[in-house]
Amino acid sequence: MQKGKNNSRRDFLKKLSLGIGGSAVALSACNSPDFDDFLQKNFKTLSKEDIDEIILNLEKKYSEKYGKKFSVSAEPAIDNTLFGYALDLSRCIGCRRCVYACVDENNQSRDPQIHWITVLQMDKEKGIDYMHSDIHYNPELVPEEGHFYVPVACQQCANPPCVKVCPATATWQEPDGIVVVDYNWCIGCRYCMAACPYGARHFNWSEPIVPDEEMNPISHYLGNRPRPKGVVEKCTFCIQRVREGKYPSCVEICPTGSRKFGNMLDPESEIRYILENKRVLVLKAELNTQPNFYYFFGV
Amino acid sequence: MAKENNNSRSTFLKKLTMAFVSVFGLGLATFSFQKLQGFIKPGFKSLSKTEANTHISKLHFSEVMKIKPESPPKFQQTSERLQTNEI
Amino acid sequence: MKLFHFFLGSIKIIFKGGKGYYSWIVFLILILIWGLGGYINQLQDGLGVTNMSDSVSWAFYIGNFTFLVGVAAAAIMLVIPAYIYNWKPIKEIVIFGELLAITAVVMCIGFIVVDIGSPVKFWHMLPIIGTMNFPDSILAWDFFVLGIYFLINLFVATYLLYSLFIKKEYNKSIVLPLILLSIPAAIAIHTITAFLFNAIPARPFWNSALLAPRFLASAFCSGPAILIILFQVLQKTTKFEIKKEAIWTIAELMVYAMFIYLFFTIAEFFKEFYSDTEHLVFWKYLLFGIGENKELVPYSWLSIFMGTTAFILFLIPRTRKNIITLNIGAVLIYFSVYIEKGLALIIPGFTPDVLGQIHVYTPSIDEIRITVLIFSAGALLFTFMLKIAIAIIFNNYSIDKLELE
Repeated sequence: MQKGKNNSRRDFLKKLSLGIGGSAVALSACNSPDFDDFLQKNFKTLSKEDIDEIILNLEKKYSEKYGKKFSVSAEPAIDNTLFGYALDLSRCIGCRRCVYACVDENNQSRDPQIHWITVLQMDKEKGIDYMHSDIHYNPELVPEEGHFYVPVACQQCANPPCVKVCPATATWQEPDGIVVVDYNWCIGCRYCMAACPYGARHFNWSEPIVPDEEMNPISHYLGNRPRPKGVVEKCTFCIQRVREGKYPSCVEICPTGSRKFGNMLDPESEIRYILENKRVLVLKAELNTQPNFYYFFGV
Repeated sequence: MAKENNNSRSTFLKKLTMAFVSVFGLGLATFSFQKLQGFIKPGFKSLSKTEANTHISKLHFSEVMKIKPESPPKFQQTSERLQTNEI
Repeated sequence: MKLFHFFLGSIKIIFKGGKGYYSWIVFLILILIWGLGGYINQLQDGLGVTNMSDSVSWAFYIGNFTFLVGVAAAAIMLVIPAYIYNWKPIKEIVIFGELLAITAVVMCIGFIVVDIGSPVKFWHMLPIIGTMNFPDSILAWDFFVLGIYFLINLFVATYLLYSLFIKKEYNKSIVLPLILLSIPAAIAIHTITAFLFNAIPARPFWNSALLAPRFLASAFCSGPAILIILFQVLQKTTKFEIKKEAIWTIAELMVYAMFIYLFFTIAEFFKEFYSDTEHLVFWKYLLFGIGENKELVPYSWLSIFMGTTAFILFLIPRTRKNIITLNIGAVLIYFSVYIEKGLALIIPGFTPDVLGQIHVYTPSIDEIRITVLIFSAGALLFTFMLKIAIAIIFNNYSIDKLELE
């Protein structure tokens, strides 16, 4: 944080900041912000050159901080792509492998703990019933008799209520359907968390803690790069992976193959096959959020 | 405050209406209806919650697949958070 | 130059006062410092010092914000009758309602600032320098109308006091349209704050069309309650004068508001309990608790009990016109609405959360300290503004006196 900054622009900005009222200085002193960061515009409004510069600075900053080569991608959405996800409820056994694969891949805070995926255990008799679901189940072996499991993460809604309510336009939907957050722009008002019907958004209540050696250095600006405290984060379908043609890490780890992912606009894709041949369920359909995340029964 | 004003109730109401129009008009003037994503779902067959529940009641997981689950989330426990904050 | 004298005079008057005044100020500053410690903790460690969580992501701060928006809106309670019906006794005291509104809006902004995770990035939601999501986000609307309402009241109150101070007749064609504009703006701030919650279909507890009307009705109970008490305190301690009829008129208007508030609440209860859908669970948590979790139950019943008692006290003419029972009623209704907005409105919206999990929330000590910080800062600001207003209006403090000194 306190690195030598001989840059004249930064010096100028520092001097400028001294002129700002006492309270502002007190606030910024407590948050010890990088003033370039502070003055950075909304990612959506940045030019290509600005983005390149920011990315370079970030890579340098993170590489120094975590002591390993860090890459930050700003890869835009691929043309003619709309990502879709399908989850086979008849196969999911609730083992939570996906939860921790996601934590490792996406650098979620270990303490305080943040999980982008929540696995709900429900009773077969009651069917899909959130009010009687349990997230703390911890038996010797899963699946437990009489239960089934519904993993819930961001549903990447086509009509996202979280995007609509954000007062600062700090979150938006990319052309490939992924709803992303600009962590530098998010003010942390948490209106999106109140608006999300799936509990998919998570807040960095305190400074997130990820051990340096566990930090995944292959990151995306809108995805798994380290987050500051006081901002909201969420599942991005592993944006750093899927835009490079890989599967999200939850899909790769799943021991039962319950998780299916692909480009819904590609008629040859597996996801398209499922959508055309299986009957699919979306959670809370009555809210018209139009998720790009479907649940189905493979067997 | 303002002295005797000769406003009748009707002119008051007129002004009130104008005030409403000016406050909300500005917002409405710039209002743009949100465009939904133009992807038409190609003949998806949707499954209702009731139908899903029928499927669920018939679900059967094979015994071979039983494994130890990863640990449950900790973040719902308020008391623990309080302790860490007190330090 | 005259404006400079006005500010100079205002600052001078703030420092003039007896023992009682100074001990009140010292008391406020002491609790302000205690509260400030909580805010320093929060700035250092983040919102983790609160008991909020991903499940209950808004809580006590937003509850206080909502309550204070109501208080700010209630200033129009006095403006409407003064201008529609030309009630002389009320007209003189409208300016005090406006000062209360200014204070309440400042406190509202304070609660928003302490609630957001990155307060230095607040400017991101402003237009032009930031990227305000204006027509889409109700929070942007809320900020917009709160800003307008604040500026109108600040301007009108300052301008009227300034005119009195320099002994000049104020320009009616400037003041009157602004006061008229402040009426819809006051309705707008509270309506849009209600829409803030209402706009979220994910939270069935708030997704009721009655929310905004209920907000307004409750605001018209709590805001004037503060003023009734305040006017009596000022009358005892300063040269401030108020006619008994003015207080009774306010009390009478409060009865209507309370009746409507009660009626709306009963209508909401009926709809939820008779239809008995899965959305009833939030009301159950609020009123009876779910299983072991009964955290809010005592508060919600206390609020209902206090509100009903206050209504009865205000309804019966004898107790309404008796100064003791009137004051008891005013205090009861104030705290009834405070509990309703501060705790009973926000927390059940998140308990159980969208995935059916119950995360118990009660405010942490730092949340209480920060709330105390904002309330004491607000009280300090209000005291200073009152001091200036009373000196100018009732003690004939003016530019001549300032020059004499």
